[in-house]
Amino acid sequence: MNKCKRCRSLLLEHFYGEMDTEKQKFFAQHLSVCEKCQTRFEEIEAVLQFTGQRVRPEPEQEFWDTYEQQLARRIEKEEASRLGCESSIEKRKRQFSIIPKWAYQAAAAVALIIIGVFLGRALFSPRVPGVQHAMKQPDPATQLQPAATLVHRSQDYIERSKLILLALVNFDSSEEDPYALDLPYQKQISKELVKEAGLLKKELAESDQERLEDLISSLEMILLQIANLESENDLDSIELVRDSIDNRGILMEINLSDIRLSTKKGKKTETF
Amino acid sequence: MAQNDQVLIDRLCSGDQSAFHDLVGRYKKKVYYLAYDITGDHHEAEDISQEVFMKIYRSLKTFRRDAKMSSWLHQITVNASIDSIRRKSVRRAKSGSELDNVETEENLVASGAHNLDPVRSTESIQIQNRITQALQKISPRERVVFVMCHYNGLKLKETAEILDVTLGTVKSLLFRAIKKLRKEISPFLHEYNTENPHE
Repeated sequence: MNKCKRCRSLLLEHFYGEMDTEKQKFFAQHLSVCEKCQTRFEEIEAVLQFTGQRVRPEPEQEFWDTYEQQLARRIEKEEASRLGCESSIEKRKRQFSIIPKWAYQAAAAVALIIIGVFLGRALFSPRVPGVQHAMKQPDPATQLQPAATLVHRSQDYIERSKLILLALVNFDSSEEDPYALDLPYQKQISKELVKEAGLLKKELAESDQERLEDLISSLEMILLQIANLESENDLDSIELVRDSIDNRGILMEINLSDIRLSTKKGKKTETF
Repeated sequence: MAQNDQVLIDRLCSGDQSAFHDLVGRYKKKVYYLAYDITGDHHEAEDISQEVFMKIYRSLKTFRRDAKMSSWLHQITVNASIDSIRRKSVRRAKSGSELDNVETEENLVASGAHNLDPVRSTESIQIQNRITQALQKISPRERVVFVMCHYNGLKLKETAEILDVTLGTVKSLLFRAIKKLRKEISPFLHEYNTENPHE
């Protein structure tokens, strides 16, 4: 058995004339007594002989005669495009070199002075106790800020959700590839928005912003549906989500909310 | 390493521009034929062979004196050919085309790219086509090893060195290639053996 294995490993070396005398001797001896190896040898020999008849189609002489010329042309072309690239880089370098060196040095010095002054004031200036106390006092103007930030955050939330919904609503399954929708990305964003919705709703409820709270609840439901879509090719589920968006008239609500918020802003600016 | 190769490498390393011209002259056919054997396409082989020499031209400055020119050339040719096959299969997959673009004798004649011996018999053309088609049916790696050893006169060890694999891997790829080729050409093989019993 071991001899057969060795013989098999030498088969190819035999055909390609890469065997030394000792191996050749063993090979011939084994082949004469082992019928299995002899059959294998004949099978390989037949394939190699048959495929050995292949004649490569020889290209025309003109092909070889013009080979170097064509190669030279290609090299020249490549060199030219490389030089073109280099010259544009050089141009940019030259543009920068128009600004004198001393200008950079002066700019660096000014920057160092500014940093020094800033650090000096922050670290070494004496603190006045009264000032510190005054800083801790809440500014009446900033008291309005949490409510304003909440509205702003809600607006931002609505805007981001709107983009997701529009992507689904505008997706035409009969003409577009489902992969163009990039559903995994939409699902990921929807999940993040669903997570955000809980806290936002709570804060809106506390500050009596019922309309915004309702709108965000509706959005949360839709986004949850999107986040739970199973596969990218599940066009039926995508269709269901779109129906749900239509039935709830959610895009209309978003637009109304936008109008309300913009009119509020308008009134505020008028009072100023 | 052949003496001439060493002289050529010395000339290349010393910046002799005419050395590159001599290199192309010496190796253009070897490179073209290897690329043709792997891809089975005249135009691709032409493109690949020129790409190989352009790559060498670009890296002349970094060429090492101890490098073996023919191995290096074969290595670049094999890599470029495999890349070309991959690109081709991607293109084919994208276009959904089922057409086999292998250049058989018929379309070589039609394209006028090659000379065809007018006295070649129909049977012989059939055999040529059969071999060409069978070669395209085996995997690119198997084909590379087979054509390197069988048609380009490279030794098993040399092939292993060029492909950066062990001798065992080369042998096993060759065995696999032969087994698959046998399957592809078996009907012809039987006819061929009965017609040519002494060969």
